[in-house]
Amino acid sequence: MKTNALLLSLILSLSCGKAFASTADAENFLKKSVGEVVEVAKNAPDAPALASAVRPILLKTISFDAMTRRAVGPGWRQFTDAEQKDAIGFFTTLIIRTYSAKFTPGELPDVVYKAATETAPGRVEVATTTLYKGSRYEVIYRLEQPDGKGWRVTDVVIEGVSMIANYRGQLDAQFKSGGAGAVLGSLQKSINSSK
Amino acid sequence: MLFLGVIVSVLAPEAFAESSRIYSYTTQGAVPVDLNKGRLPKNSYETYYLESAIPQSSRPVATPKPKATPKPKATPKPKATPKPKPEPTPKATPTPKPAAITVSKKSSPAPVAKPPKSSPKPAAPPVDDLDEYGDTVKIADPIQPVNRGMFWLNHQLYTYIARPVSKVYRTILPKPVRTAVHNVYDNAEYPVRVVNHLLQGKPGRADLETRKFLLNSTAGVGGIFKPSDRFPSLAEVPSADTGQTFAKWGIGHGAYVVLPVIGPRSVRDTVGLAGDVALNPLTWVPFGGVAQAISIPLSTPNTVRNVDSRLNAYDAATENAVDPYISLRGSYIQYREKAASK
Repeated sequence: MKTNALLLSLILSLSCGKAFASTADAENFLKKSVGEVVEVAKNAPDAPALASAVRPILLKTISFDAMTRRAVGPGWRQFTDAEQKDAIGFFTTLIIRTYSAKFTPGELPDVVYKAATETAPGRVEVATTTLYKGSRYEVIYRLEQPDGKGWRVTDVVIEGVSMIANYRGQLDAQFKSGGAGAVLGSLQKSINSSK
Repeated sequence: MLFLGVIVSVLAPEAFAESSRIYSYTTQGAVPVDLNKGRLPKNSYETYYLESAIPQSSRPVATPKPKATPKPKATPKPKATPKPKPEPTPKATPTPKPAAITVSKKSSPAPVAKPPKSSPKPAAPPVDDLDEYGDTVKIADPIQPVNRGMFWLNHQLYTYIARPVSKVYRTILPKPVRTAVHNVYDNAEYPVRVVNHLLQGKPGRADLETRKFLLNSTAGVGGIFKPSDRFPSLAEVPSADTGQTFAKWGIGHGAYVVLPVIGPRSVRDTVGLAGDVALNPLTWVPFGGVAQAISIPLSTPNTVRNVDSRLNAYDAATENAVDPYISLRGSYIQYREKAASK
């Protein structure tokens, strides 16, 4: 009985320890990435310069592959390899623009990190309160380990509005109206017409 | 299921007898039940199964028809003497029993061939990774063509009227002054929040809201400054409005509508807006005569600062969108869902 209890406590402590390490790793990864973005935003002269400067940081921080697949939804399976590649490329540009548009060069957010939570194995949510331009926003970052190794951001939820859920509604409608071609066309059009 | 069976057997006994044969398990295996005018035997404590719930191997080879068939010409067949079959073991027949009709759970003798009660259900399909966000944004939009028209009209209003007004507002008033204007009007809307906190059954939040109001009205010089932001408990009190209160009461969104100038709303939040207007002290000043002279300068800065903040939200939702209409609708619904869940 005593041995069983010891074994159980050992298993529990190991599993909890592992979960804690996961959430802590994810949180540290996010803090580092957000810190790099803020540093770039501080020095960028204007919005286009900011967008191009944050691109390399976001490419190593965000899983654009997972984001694009989920934004398109089950229709993704009907995309050819070439169409998938194009879609990921277009969506990456769009997401980087959307994210960098939240920042005004020279204005720095004050980010307070709350406790990270493991929502499922390999999935962590980091909630933050961000004070920016005099307003307080609740921003949640969703992170995963897509390849089982490093952490990547797979969604950003600002005041309850999920970036991916929002694109999902739009791209789903496009897919239903004209399949992969309509999705790619609409992404391309959006990139061309965006400021 | 029993309820359904009883209803069907009462309303259409013939149909019941014709379409579904009923079995019970005995030591001889599954045996058809002799239905009396489509009804199960009275005062029976046996457990009965629809034919579809009986494994094929357990069914008698020649299924005799029930005695009470509606067809008078049918030759009455001898009463159920099914061919004895080898007793199926539960292991060999892991059939689920979805269609069991249990008359009573009182000590029925455990039949040998009864399928296991806790037979394993087929595993639920795993959640499709690609469909994770499938149900995030759902609202009925039955008048979408009208809404899209109104969305276009609002876009023109925002572009040609609101945006220039906002630009002038931002040019004339430096940021600290704009913040002060925002703070004063936000503080004045205290009754909207406190009443709705109470209506939502949250007296603790109403208490914090009152403390915040008193602190900002006194130390914050009539709400110009926001000393409450220095206290996390006061800074993070969630806002409350009548639409949220309706949501807390279990009232759904209803349809999605785009209102002129105001923009996206659900029917629920449109009704809630009327409650917010009624609770807002800025609307208590009566119009007409001398009062109007007070009312207009009182409400104009509030209107302008509302336009300014509305434009920010509009731009955030529609810039870089594939379909700005759907993007704004999705953002609005997600935002309101979150607000209601706080």
